[in-house]
Amino acid sequence: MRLLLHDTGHNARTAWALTLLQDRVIEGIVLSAFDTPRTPLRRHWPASRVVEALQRAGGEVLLDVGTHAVTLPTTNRLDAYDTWELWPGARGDLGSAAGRQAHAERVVARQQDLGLAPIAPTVGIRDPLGPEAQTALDLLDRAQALDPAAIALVIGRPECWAAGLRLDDFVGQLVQREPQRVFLGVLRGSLDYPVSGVVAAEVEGICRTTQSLSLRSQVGVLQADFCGLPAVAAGATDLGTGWYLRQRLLAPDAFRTNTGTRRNSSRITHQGLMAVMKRREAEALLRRDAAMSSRLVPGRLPPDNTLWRHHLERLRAIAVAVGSAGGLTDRVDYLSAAYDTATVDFARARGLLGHLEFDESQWILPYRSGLADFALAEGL
Amino acid sequence: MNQADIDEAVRVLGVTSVIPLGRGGQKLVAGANLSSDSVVLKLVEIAGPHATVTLARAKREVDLLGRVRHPNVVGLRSPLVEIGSPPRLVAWLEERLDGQDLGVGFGRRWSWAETRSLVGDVLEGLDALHSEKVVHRDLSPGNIRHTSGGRFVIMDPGIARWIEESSLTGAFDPGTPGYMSPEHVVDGVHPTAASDLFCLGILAYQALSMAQPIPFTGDRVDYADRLRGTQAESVASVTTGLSSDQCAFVDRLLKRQVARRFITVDEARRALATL
Ligand SMILES: Nc1ncnc2c1ncn2[C@@H]1O[C@H](COP(=O)(O)OP(=O)(O)O)[C@@H](O)[C@H]1O
Ligand SMILES: [Mg+2]
Repeated sequence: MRLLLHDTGHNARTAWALTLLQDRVIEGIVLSAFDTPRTPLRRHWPASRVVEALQRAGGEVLLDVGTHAVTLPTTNRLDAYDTWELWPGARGDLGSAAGRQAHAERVVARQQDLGLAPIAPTVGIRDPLGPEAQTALDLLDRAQALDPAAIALVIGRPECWAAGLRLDDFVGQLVQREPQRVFLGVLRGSLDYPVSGVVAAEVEGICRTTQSLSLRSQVGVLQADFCGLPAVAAGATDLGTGWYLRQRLLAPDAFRTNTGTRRNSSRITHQGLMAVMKRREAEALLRRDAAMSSRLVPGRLPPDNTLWRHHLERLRAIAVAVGSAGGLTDRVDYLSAAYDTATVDFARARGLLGHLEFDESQWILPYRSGLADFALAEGL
Repeated sequence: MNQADIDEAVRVLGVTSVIPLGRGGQKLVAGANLSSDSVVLKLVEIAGPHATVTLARAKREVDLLGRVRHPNVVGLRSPLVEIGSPPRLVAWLEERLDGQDLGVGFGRRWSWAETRSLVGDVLEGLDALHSEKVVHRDLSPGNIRHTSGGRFVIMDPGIARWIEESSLTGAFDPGTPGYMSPEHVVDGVHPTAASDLFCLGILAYQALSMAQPIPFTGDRVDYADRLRGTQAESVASVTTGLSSDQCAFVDRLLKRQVARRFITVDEARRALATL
């Protein structure tokens, strides 16, 4: 199980990342073309400098070129992005074979220039048998032709992951490209966390896809945080996360200006709940039942200035526990049991506090039923 | 197909002792002699609304057979000749395979050893096709010959599709009902190498059990729905005496989900080698 930290674009945060690498809390960093510029930009370090520092600390460094983000209609946070010069023609022009080829060439070359294993460009997919999926496969083909080790990236909207047989048909086409490594991501509607409206079918779809791909490839889930745990049970070995919401989730708002940097700094991660809780709620729980609080966090409530690290350590602990529980059945059993326990604990916490801002219905239940459906379908 | 054109093809190709073997649609298959060699003469009529496609299909078949020289793929014995201008008929010669079509042997249950030899031979033939980036798309009992020497040989790659070229569409239904893969029936998806492996799985399943994993019962829509939406029962449920690894091998060829199936001849060959 490897934790990948997503980019923040802040130089100071690079220092955090270095600490986390040195302390083996994370194994790698996924830089984003939207956050780290290629050439010096205002106070930002250029990518080459960031890459060098992170690699010196022993981390795997990857670059997410964010083609799936720049092609969203609301994306306008482009100052770092434009320094990458990824479009010889018009930005976002994937309508012609020439446009796709030119973009793929730039994307692969930029990553190779930095000495990074290239991630193929992709677009967000709604219908796994629709035109976006064809564009995604075409871009992968072009990237693989340029570098056979290109990592496949699949970004699906929730309905893509919930599309059942159509998703399987797409995954069948994907595996026949025989990528050595595949990253999966869910393009959400917003950066709300916990994610609202998650349905079991999308969780099951991610699990089934992960299991299918893991037969031949190394699979990772990007910008996934706690939502990625079912995929870890299903065989994913890389899990992408961070301390800001836009590191934990993928949504159009992450690529817009002036949406503010939303962070979870006043929220405390409870490993046992696989959730983050408002500090006020966490403190109330501590007062009502210190033993329970200490079991769920676990330990004392961390001070605000260590929350970033605390979250990654707690996520890592549960992800490693799931990932190393054994074979597929054991991993799924382990996570199911953890979800069951968390469901009971949420109910008890709600009983103690009278009310919770969010509870198991957002943090646990959709994932638990998706995982259960997956287990049933696989005959586990 | 008019007799004068047939006579002309026979003359141009220089064959004698022509004896019809079968005739289906626009294709006529005949045994013949080319000097002392036993050959098969194939004649395809280029007429009707799909003349262009029929011509292209025949050209592809011959082009393909000319490129693929392999003991488990039928050999080509002449170039393609066109009769008439524009062509009314095309014709070519293939090696004549003795023995019988695979389907003739399906009247009894096969042992694992016999089935393994079928699967092994067809995998080698498919390897030759797939290396040329060609998908057969119609591996069915009428398109595999079991020779008297015990060899299995793939014939009739007439609807084979070059993976990298656009498909010929519209003029014919690819595949034979009962012997299709899920990819044959899904809009927006095309049969690939992995689909040929599924079809090989059907043949192995039928050889071992005398039953089809997803039988065709006369209704194409229903067949397509079941092909796409249901996972075939394990071959273990219709046979006795097979090891669980042998069953798992056949079952894996028949996985509804491509990703769960063997997707290359190499994958299947490696698994078969351990059985
Ligand atoms: N090279 C050959 N050697 C022996 N028999 C052949 C050969 N080619 C075809 N046949 C016989 O003729 C039948 C039909 O030939 P095929 O090329 O499969 O035509 P169709 O397109 O009508 O299926 C085969 O099923 C087989 O019995
Ligand atoms: Mg035939």
